[in-house]
Amino acid sequence: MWIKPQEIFLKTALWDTDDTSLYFVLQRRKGHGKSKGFSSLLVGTLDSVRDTKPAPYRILHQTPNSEVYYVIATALTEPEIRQDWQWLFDNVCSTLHSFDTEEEVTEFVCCKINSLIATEQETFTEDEDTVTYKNVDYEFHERFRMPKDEKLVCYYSCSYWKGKMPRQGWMYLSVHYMCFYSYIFGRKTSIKIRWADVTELAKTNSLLFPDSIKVVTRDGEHYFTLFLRKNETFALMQQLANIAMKQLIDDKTGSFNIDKELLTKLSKNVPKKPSFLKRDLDARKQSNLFTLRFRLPQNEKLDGTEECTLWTPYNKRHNWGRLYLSQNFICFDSRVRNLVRLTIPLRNVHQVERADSGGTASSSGDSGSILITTAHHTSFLFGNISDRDFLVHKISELLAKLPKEKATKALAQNEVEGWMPQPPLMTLFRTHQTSPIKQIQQKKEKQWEDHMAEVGRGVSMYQTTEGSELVVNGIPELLRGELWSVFSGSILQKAQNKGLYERLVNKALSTKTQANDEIERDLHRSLPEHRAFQNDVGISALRRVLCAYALKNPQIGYCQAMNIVASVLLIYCPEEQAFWLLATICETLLPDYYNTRVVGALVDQGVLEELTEVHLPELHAKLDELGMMKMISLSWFLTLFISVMPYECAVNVMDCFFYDGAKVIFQVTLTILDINREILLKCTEDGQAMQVLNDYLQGIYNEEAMALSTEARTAEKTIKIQELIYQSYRSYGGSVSSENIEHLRLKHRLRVVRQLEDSLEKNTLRALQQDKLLELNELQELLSAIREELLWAKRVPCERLEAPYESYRLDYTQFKTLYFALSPWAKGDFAEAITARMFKLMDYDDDGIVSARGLSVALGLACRADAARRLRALYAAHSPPLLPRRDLRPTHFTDTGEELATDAISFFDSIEEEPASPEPGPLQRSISEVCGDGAHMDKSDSETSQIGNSYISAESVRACGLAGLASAASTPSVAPAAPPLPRDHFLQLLAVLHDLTQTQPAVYEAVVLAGTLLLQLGELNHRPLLDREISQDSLFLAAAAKQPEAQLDPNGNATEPEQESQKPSPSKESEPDGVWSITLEQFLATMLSQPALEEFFNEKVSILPELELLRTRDRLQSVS
Amino acid sequence: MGTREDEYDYLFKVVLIGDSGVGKSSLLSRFTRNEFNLESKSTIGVEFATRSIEVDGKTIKAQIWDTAGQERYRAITSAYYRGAVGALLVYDIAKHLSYENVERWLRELRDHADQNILIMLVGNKSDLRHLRSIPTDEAKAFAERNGLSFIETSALDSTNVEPAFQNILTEIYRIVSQKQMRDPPEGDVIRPDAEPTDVRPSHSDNVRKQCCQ
Repeated sequence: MWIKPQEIFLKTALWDTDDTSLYFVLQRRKGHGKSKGFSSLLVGTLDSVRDTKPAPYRILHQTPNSEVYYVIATALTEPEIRQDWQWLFDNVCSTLHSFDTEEEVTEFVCCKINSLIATEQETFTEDEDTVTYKNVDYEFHERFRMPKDEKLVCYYSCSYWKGKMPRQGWMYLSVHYMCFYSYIFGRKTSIKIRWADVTELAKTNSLLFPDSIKVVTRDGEHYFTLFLRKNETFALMQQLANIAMKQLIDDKTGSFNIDKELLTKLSKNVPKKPSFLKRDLDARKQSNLFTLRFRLPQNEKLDGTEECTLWTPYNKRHNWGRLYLSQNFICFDSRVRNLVRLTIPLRNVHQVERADSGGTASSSGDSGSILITTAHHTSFLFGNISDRDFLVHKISELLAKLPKEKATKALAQNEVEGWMPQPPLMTLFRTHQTSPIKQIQQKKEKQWEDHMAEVGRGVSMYQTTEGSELVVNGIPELLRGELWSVFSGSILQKAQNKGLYERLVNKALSTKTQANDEIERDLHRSLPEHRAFQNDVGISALRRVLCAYALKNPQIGYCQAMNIVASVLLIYCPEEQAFWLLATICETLLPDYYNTRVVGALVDQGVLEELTEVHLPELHAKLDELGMMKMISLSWFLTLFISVMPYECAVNVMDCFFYDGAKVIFQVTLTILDINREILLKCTEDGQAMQVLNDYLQGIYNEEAMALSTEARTAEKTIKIQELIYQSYRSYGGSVSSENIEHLRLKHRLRVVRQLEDSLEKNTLRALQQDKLLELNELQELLSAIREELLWAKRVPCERLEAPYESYRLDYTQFKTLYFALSPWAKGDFAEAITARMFKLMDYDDDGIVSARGLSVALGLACRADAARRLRALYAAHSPPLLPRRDLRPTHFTDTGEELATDAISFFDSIEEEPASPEPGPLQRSISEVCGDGAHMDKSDSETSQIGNSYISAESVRACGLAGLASAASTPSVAPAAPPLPRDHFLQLLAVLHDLTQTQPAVYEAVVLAGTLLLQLGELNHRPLLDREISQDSLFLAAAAKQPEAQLDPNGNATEPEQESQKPSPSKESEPDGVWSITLEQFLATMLSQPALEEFFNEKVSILPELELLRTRDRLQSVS
Repeated sequence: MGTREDEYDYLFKVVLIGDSGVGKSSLLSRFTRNEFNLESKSTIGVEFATRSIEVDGKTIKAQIWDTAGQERYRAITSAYYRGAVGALLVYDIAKHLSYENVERWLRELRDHADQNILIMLVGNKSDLRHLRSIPTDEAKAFAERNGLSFIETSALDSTNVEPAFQNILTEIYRIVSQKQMRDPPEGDVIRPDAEPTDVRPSHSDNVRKQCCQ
């Protein structure tokens, strides 16, 4: 690669010269490639310690009389540099002779190289990464044998504690791995850890490992220290581990995607980082924090931020804070926490103008102000903007990019579909409210009206301290729907997706899915105490919301608890708003809570446990002892307290929850535990403690709202909900913050996902052991090999209903990779054929996917089963319909495979000539003859085969082949009868047996002998059929009628007709032809009568060595 | 809390499992509170109730854990099987699928519960005679094959609910008391190697259920 010519004076230090010419020198860095010796060792060490890592090859330009050298090209590999070298020779050297002075030569060379770079840069403008980074990236891939598509994110200098000695080296963080490499005076330390295997990341400061980052995997602990930027490193490590965990949770096949858009967005504000990806991740992280803070849709990308002031008209002040700009929003958050927060959707922006900084109190010169007017004629004044023009320009740019709103169709369409969205159900199902309650509600409404008159209403209201106080008091019932939508940000989602709800409902209601069935079952079990849900109006609305959401987000589908939450939303909100609130809860506020493994809820249990340990240590110890710390509040969180306290109280918690986020449920829970601490500490068993908390929660009451329920609350009153919420803010409002929660969630997600993986693995192992084939340690290794394989295929195990091992799903490619590497049967020329047939045998439902058990059984049979079972499996794998007729032609086999098969047949021919044949008499026929008319024999072309009278399904063939397994789904008492094997199939089987035994002459011969016997037996079977009544066998007749005329023999033995004619055969004369076949019993009996064969197939083989090999193999080769 | 509740000779933990919507919670409320709500909230995670009964003059406190039936809660609910000495595996006699899934639930128990757990197969909603899809004999035969006891109940008209719980608790009691006779406990100390089923009679507050697995 050409680089801008740089002057250097020292030519030789640390470099070896490989090649020279009059004007150029090609050099190699010491310690690279061939050169060895002490100096190279030293350079190797220096390179691994220094920050800038020079490329190992370079070309210098030099003129004979000059002391100055110019580096004009560098490269990472020798061929690359040679290519440049060659180019110089071909294009430059000849020209150089024509110059008069050396100065001219140098000038020409530099000019030439610069122009080269200029032209090259045009093709490389997309390339964001710096040269240094590229070098490191290359090293990283080389050192750790990473596949090409593994992306290095960043690298840091640090030390690794190896024993008591810190080793200075480099930490490489990539999307899937963290690696460490150090090379100090010939001692190499190399560590490679997959993020998905990390169970804990922590900053520690122990005596033994001062100021370190601790990385715990299942295999052990690692400590790293002496970071230049420890916090940055740690944050990045957390982020990467988290991405890995997210992938495990979501079962999304999509890998990590680089978000180019994000990168360009943040490039103005973020200092240059070594890696494109690192910058991308930084941007992603900032965007996440941003969307979280302002409750924006998750895919919103932060464009930039700017310090400025916001003028708040209600108190006539300028408030310092930060302005955030993203594709769809302008947001502001005050520097003083909770003072004022604002979100303006760009969609609503009518006008952006430079305002005179007349009123601003602060410095005059650069206090540029911007006035933003929205469509509702509300204005927002930002001041003290340092780069006003840029900001105005940027905003107009974003405004121009806004997608044009499509005219949405009126809701009239719904009437055609037969449904209308419902208004808040409480407006339809009123209850008589006592006048004190009415007064309270009216007073609150008045307060809010006054407040909103000052701060505005809707999306862009100023969210102030005063506002939050009103929220804590409890939002009046009539305003709940509106304010919940604003605070949670769901109003933005709704506005961005006009008409979507309607479309989803129409589609969802007309399809039948499992989720819909589950929803149907729970509709009447959501909020049955409320009149609205004793009525079809409420039930239908609930059905629509839940079904539409299941359709919108198949990752979640429907999870019990969503019904309960949604029903309460429907009481206070119009239907569509309720839907978007539900979406916001599921996706933003309670992430992963309702997915197929309820991971989010488990993560938050961990978070709660940690918070309890910090704030209520005594109680934590007690609850832990009772064994209930991990599950105490699961249903509290999952239903936002609705299922555990009267819902008219739970909604007050929801008021705060939508306003302040998930931290609220934590602080309320901690408060509840704190209040009940004394009683809980006295409890002696978990049930008792549960009861204490249940009674307490049931007794919470709300005097300011009338329950809209039919039943009166009977529980003994314990605490006013308002009091509980006040107390929770007072005690924990400050110490439990959203950032804190997010941070803890990150930490506990590692643990939870790991636990789920572990338990899945444990259950799988237990299930696989029941097959009694492979040993436990083999199974463990095998499972980790499977996991590895799936990981590389970017597929993650997902929890399945049927059996644990079904979670590991291998397609044929993956199965083949592993079977090839591990099975003793996949060594010869027929490896591919055997693998394919074993795959088919194990693929119960013919969906091209085999479970972990399928592979373990396929391997176990080959290694551990007794001879009879192994042969039976092979037999079944070669039976129709598992091995369909069309697969007999060995098109995909190797040439040698075909040759071998042909060899085998000719071998039969040769031994057939021998006089001492065990089956003498008229039955003795030439094998070649049999081969000759083989095409007439096989009638199986379809998936199910028709042999004789028996109709054989693939299912029963499999059951037969795998007979003897522990619990094949429904174990019939008698193993199903095996189908007889048609001739062509049998020949294939024989060829395979040949292949398996070819290295052992004695066994090989035994196969040959048994094969001959069986072929003759086949003939024997053939005969009696002729005498059989075949009149009823109409299917058989039909099949026989369309005998193919072509030679379908797989082994291509088409040249035997003479022999055939010499020996008149009775079967030739009869019409139709009988069926040549071998039964399983004949096959087994004949094979096992050969001691050599029996011994061979009884031999127990361990696959541990192969597993070891597999583990250490070079991934680069197997991937690319 | 209540003193009367605290006096018991034995404390048995029993879990209610089975598909969603078969009536586990209804059985629980019928047994513990003699209540029946045609419509109650779906169970999230686990719920819990107790009731004490008398067997042979001994007070047995049954601690009954009601679990969510939905598939995705299984990882959570199976954590509650630990320490349970009995399980009521409930299906809906009118819903064939809930009966088909019984095998899967058995496997769950095998995987996560104590080996000696007593299991009773319960066909609930026996009041829905006209909708029955699983003949009593079939379920009975299945139960016998798998070594489970069997009963059909109706939480709605309270048929057999009392006997169902009584039977399983009595059976547990018999096993536990026989075991105690075979190897009597040493003093008042809980043997560290005690079986989970072995719950010591107690008069003091500090006796806890032992789960040693």
